[in-house]
Amino acid sequence: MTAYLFERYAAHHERADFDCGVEILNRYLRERARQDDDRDAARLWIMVETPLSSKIAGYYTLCTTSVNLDGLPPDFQKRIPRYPSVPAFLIGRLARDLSFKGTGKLLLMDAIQRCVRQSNEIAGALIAVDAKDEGAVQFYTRFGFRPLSERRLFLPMATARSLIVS
Amino acid sequence: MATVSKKRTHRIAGARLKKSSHFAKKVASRAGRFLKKSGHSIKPLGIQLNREESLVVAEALVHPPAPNQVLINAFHAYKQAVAA
Repeated sequence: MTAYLFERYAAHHERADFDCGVEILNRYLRERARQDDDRDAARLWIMVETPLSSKIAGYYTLCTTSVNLDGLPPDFQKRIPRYPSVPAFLIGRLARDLSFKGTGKLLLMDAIQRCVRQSNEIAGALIAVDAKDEGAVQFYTRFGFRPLSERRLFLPMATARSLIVS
Repeated sequence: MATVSKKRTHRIAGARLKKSSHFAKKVASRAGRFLKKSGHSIKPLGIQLNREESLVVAEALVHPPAPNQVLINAFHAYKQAVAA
């Protein structure tokens, strides 16, 4: 089996060659991802085959967000934190290069594992994802993500945690 | 959240809206910076859900489902891929 490494974005990673087949995600990596990372808007994680490899096999971004709940009945309000918003982790973008088929799930698992690890220090009740199209919605749904709003899905942190510790 | 009229937004930015979309973006950006400095926010932060969507999330938080088999298999594949 091919081994993969996950590392923070660095200058030697070749963004121009990356092609996941979705122009908006290619362009994001080429033009905005580094700026978002520099400005602490989203953390950019890169998947490579070998250490110090410049070829990007895939990438994802992570940041925190909050989910504002509205109109919950009293019995729910008793059982979840009494705040209008629930803290969450957000996988904003996730894409793999066309030449690395079958690695999307590895990117997703690394992102989930990282969220679970961070949740020991920074509370997050769920992991949200932004799906760019219907294909992406189906991809996340297969792994048990549930619809949050139109193109957003979520996985409860407790579910992710039980996966990692099992 | 404060509501600011279009006219006032542009006055805040110190410029009139022109035909150029680039200029329009610049105006909006300057107005946004002003509102941020003055303690106002243009849009609510975070993900806003309606009542039905909130119920789905609350239910999942109270009764988190067990990981499905696809998720479990993917995690095993991931562990092998990073350990190899």
